[in-house]
Amino acid sequence: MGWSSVQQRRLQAERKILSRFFPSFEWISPNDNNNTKVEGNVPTNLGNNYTLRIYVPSDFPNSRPDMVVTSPHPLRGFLGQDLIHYGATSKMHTLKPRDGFVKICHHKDWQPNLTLYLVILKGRIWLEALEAHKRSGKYIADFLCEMQ
Amino acid sequence: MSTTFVYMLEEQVQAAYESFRTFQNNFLPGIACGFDGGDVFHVYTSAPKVHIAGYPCHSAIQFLIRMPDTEESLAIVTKICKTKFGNNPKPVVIVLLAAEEKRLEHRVFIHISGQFREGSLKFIPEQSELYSRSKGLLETSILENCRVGIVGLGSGGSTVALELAKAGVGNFVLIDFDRMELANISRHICGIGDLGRYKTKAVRDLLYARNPYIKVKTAEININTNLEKTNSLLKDCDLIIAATDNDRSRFNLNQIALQYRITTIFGRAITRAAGGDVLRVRPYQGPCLACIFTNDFLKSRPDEISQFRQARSQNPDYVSEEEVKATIQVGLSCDILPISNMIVKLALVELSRGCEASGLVSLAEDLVADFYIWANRRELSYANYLKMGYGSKTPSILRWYGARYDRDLTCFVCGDQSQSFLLEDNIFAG
Repeated sequence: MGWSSVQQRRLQAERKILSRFFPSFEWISPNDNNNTKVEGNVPTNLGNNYTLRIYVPSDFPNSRPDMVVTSPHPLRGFLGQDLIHYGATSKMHTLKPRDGFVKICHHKDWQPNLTLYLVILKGRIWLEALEAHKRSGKYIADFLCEMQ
Repeated sequence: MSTTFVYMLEEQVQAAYESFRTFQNNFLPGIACGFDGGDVFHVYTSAPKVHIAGYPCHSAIQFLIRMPDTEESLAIVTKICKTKFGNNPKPVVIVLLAAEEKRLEHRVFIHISGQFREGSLKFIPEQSELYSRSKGLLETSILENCRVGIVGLGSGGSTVALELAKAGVGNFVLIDFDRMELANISRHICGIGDLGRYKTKAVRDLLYARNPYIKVKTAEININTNLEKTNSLLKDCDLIIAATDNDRSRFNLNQIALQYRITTIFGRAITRAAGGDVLRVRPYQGPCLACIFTNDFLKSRPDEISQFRQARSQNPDYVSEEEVKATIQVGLSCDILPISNMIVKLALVELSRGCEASGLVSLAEDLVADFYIWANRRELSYANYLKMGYGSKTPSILRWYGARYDRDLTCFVCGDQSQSFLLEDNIFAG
């Protein structure tokens, strides 16, 4: 099954925005709406590199896309702990892992007016909070609350 | 003794007569149900589309060359009763039919407690006569040809379906993946007799009971995970009713409305059914769902949560089952009905639009707003409403308010960008 014409127009707009603000992101299987993903590198302020993957749902933009960290893998937290073991927890703003990768909780109330650009931006903020967690041992939620 | 009434579908009687005339097939076993201790019987020549009620009885239809007098008739029905049904204690209904001088003469006899009594045979008319009373107010011939898609057949959507069928709409597409459960019974139009059934099929049978000639297509699917099938089911509809219980499905239906430019009416109740709202989406002519249902709007008017599945999907994985259960707060059926009723009125206005003979022209002049708000009680977002009292100039409970919302041209779903041309390097085309 493919994307409907309405969805294609929307994805075209998403692609245009991402190419401007997150040019490293690439589209994977863009014409297969059951497997479309966007993946790219995101550097943090400290200069560390992470790879974020967004699974574009077949009913995009009407349901929330999943976002995982695919690199580094495994993703380490404070004192080298594998973050996947946290599972779904509000303390770390994570959901049940997908494909063995840590899944970030990015928008509790999804709206079709939200864009993939905003999703990646939330991922970028989460990664900054992750680095703060790695330094201090505090939960990621402690930093994300302060960032609001 | 009061008269016993026996009902048959005119269409079935005509088909049986044709069979008699062509093939000399003069005897037909029937399917019959009795009601109220033998007061009323319904007889069918084949399993009807309608939901059969009552208790099962034996039945037969006998064609004759001429209609005999009472004595001879009793002899005929006694013979049929003995040879075909023996000493069975169940009631037996025997219909005698004879074509005389271009008229179909008929008599009916009922065998109960060892005795025969004659009843009065009534025919359920064909489609053209069923809604004759609505003529003048509604252009029933137009509605008969309309196709309405209803997604979500809970307490709201099922009522809308029934009312539209009663108004004369002739074609329905009913979509829902839920089954009738005990918790639904207090608010739903279907009852205990439908427990365990798909809501689509249970509601379909209620529609057939109002009009066995309507055409109903059902689909027991989750539209969120079956978008392609949903598209193909709804794309030829004249109108879509979105009566689902979650925003994801509403936004998916909004997208279908825009894709196929089908007017779609969204209705929902808010927490504990303290009130609700109805939105008519006229694609690219007025606001779409995303223009109005923003995060701030939804936070101020959260959905009524009536079942666990709905509550679970609206909370992240890390929220415990106990906490999720605590969010279920159900309203009363009578608080849902005004919302369903408004959806029906808007639907009839839309389906009759352009027909000057419609008696709903003045109603269309009143219902110019695309978004309507209803309050059942002064609580939650209506807490600051003044008491209803005697005035009518300030917002109060139990009144509809049309709110002016224009299409948001910057809306990422229906705004200008959404109508841009597809580029040549469109990597998303299949």
